[in-house]
Amino acid sequence: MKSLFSSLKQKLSRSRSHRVVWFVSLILVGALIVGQLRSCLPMARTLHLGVFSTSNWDVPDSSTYEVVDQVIARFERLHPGLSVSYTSGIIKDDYSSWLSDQIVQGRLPDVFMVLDEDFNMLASLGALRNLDSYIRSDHAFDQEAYYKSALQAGQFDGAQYALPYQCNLRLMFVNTTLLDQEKISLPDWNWTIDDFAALCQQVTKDTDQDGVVDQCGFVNYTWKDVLAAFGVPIFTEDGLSVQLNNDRVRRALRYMQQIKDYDQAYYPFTSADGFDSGQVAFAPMSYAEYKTYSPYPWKVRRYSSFEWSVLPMPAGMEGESNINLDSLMMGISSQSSHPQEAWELLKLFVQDEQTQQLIASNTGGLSSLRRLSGSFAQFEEEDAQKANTEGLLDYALENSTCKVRFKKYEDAMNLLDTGMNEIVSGKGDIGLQLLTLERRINDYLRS
Amino acid sequence: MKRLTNIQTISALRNGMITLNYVIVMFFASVNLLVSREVIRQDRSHLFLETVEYLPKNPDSVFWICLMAYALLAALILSRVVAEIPGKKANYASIGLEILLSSLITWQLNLAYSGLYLLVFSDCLFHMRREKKSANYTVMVVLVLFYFLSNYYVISFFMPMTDPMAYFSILQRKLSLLLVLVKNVLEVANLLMFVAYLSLYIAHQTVENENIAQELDMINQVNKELRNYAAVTERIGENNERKRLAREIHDTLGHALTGIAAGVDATLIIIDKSPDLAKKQLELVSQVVREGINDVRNSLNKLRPGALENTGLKGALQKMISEFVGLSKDLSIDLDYEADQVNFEVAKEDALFRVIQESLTNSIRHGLASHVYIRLYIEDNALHILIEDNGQGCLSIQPGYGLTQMKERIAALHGAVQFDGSDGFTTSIVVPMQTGEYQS
Repeated sequence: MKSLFSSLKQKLSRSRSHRVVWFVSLILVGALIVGQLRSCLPMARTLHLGVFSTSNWDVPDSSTYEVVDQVIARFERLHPGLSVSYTSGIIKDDYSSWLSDQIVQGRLPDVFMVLDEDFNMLASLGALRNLDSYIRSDHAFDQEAYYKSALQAGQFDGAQYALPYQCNLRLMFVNTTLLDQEKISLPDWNWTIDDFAALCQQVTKDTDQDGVVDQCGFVNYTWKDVLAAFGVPIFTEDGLSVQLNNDRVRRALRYMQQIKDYDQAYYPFTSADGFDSGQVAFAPMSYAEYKTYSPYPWKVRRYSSFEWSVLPMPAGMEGESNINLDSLMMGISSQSSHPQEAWELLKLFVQDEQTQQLIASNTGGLSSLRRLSGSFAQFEEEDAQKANTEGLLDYALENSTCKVRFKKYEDAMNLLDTGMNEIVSGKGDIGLQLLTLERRINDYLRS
Repeated sequence: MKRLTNIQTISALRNGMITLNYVIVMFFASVNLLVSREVIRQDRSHLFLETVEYLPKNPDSVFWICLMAYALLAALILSRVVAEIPGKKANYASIGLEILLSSLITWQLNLAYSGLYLLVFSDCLFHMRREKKSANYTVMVVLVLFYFLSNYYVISFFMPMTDPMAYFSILQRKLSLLLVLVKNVLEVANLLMFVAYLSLYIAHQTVENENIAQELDMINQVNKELRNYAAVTERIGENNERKRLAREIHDTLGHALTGIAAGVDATLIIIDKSPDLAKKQLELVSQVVREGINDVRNSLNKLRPGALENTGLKGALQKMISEFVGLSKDLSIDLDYEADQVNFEVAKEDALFRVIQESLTNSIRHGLASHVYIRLYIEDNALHILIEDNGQGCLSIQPGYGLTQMKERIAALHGAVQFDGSDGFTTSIVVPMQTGEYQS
């Protein structure tokens, strides 16, 4: 041993470059060991969480942190030695740019919320960790517990990159008092847009005979809802082109032209209160809006003068319901140094029943877990409608579809909205106008 | 020209390259860091991410890792003085580490700059000049491959990568153009320095080769003279030996035989007259004969190897070993003499000594061995001699004069000898013991 040591020493002192080679290797190996040890030592480790404070559904909501804090407290109790921190005070509108800043600085939080419109960018950038292997190896995790479309929202290139934290969808609100007055019975859940048009036609009239139409079929029902009902995906998956000049889009637009007479917005002299006025039979509204405005005192202020109920959005054809599902997802950073712990935290957010129950009762969103939505427990004591709405959410979620999303989705949609509205209100040739619009949007998408 | 090609100029050029590469690496790392900050300050990070193709690295850690790794790389290169040729292992370890560090830095900079491999290439070129051609080529090919593959446009074809140019193009057009200009100027400067280094190196190598050829010529000349001188010396030695032999024969046998002849003649004359006197005379002759025998033996003793005469086999071997070791610095010979209790007769000692001497000479002359191990031991009433070396050995043994003579000598002692040239060269000899050779 001693001779070995001395021979080593002799070798070391043989030349200067020998010593430097040893020194450099020592530093490199040391750096490697320190890096490895840091994740193994029982030191306090911190997971960073990226969340925003306001609601994802543009409704007042103050309980995001309440849910987050509770989850963190439970997680820290379950995993001693781990702590979770988050930057507070980020509102939804700033969240996307805050997250971008973190990515540019290379400081992506370990677990973070993923906005619907950011998902594709984050996944293609490689910011999100592929969760497939975790899902496969974790027997406590059940993929089947989620609605299919909610799960689909977190998929990119056939792999799961994010899991649904909460979701939201559009529902049709019906003024039942008005329908009763007109002796119309509430339609079935699987009603179609033709039923919708027929009902609107029946309802729209000048009730006080003053020459001005004051009772309308609907408000806020737009071409997007019709396209969604037809299930027409207008954008290609890669978000590089839009396809407008086809039969279905033309049909949808013709339908819009057909029903525009029943739209409250078509009569500029009526009160602008929309559904609240009690003069409108149908109004699409997101579930979150419903939920936020329904409890006291919102409910009293808004819908006290009439009885109302909820229906799924009308389908394009019999038995073919298509409802776009909005979702807020959570994912794990691909750079996270504690992926396993991050996965545990993520699970506590997205699959834990207690957390999801809290989301269902305290925030505007819906849980994407079948167990929780199916019971309709999320609709609170609306005794009058309860019988009618039992199972409605489950029906709607089951029939929902995942939106096509890409980086320029929001801007392209705004452009499209302007163009479509022009076409609907105009009298020109639909096909020609669609072609022009299609070219304009494609130019934008490819620029 | 002479001054340009000397090693100091080349060394200075290399140091210049180290400095320039430091500037370039820090330029890229700083651009990453500052642009990241600027992008966040201007609230354009979302736009930036859309152009960057893949998750950017943490610019702070990129900066520090580049700084540290480059410090280590520079230390490695500077520690290897151009004139010094280090050991083989240190050389390879150093090259490996240099490639590793350059790859680390290049990777951290998103493959924006691969000129570091040129620096490593030029460094290796110098230190590998004494290595085998094949090793040389391997290292060079690896470096050239790294140089060409360390390119964003190549690698991003196979796997997603952060676009290094996104850091330039996100800036205002004027500033972006300026920075790209600086980047290009720096890269071209590095390339020019590399080419200069390469041409100076080749010139230096040519001059050195010429010098070596001249020196070889001179050595050849001297060698020839020495050979002539050796031949002359041998002839003189032979002559001297002949004279000495003649003198010995004359002094010993000549005297004795003359005395005997005279004594016998005298005896012939007096044998009839006085047998008693004749008897006395014959006794005298007999004494002369005995003295003659003694003289002859002494003369023969003088012809034996001098060492054996004084110190026995062990001492003679030790003396021979010290003489051999004294001849060459790199040579070490270990002797394990485990036959102290045995006393061989003179002829046998002679034969064994000559055989061991022959083996040693072969090991050094033909095998180019740097270490020889000799062991003598007694086992099963036989003397075993083992001579192992770490030299080249040889797969097929063609016995020449030396080996044949060794075999003959050992056969005369009723022994056997075996040769093995597969791992170094091993000679094993077994000679049976004779009665009376053991000393108590």
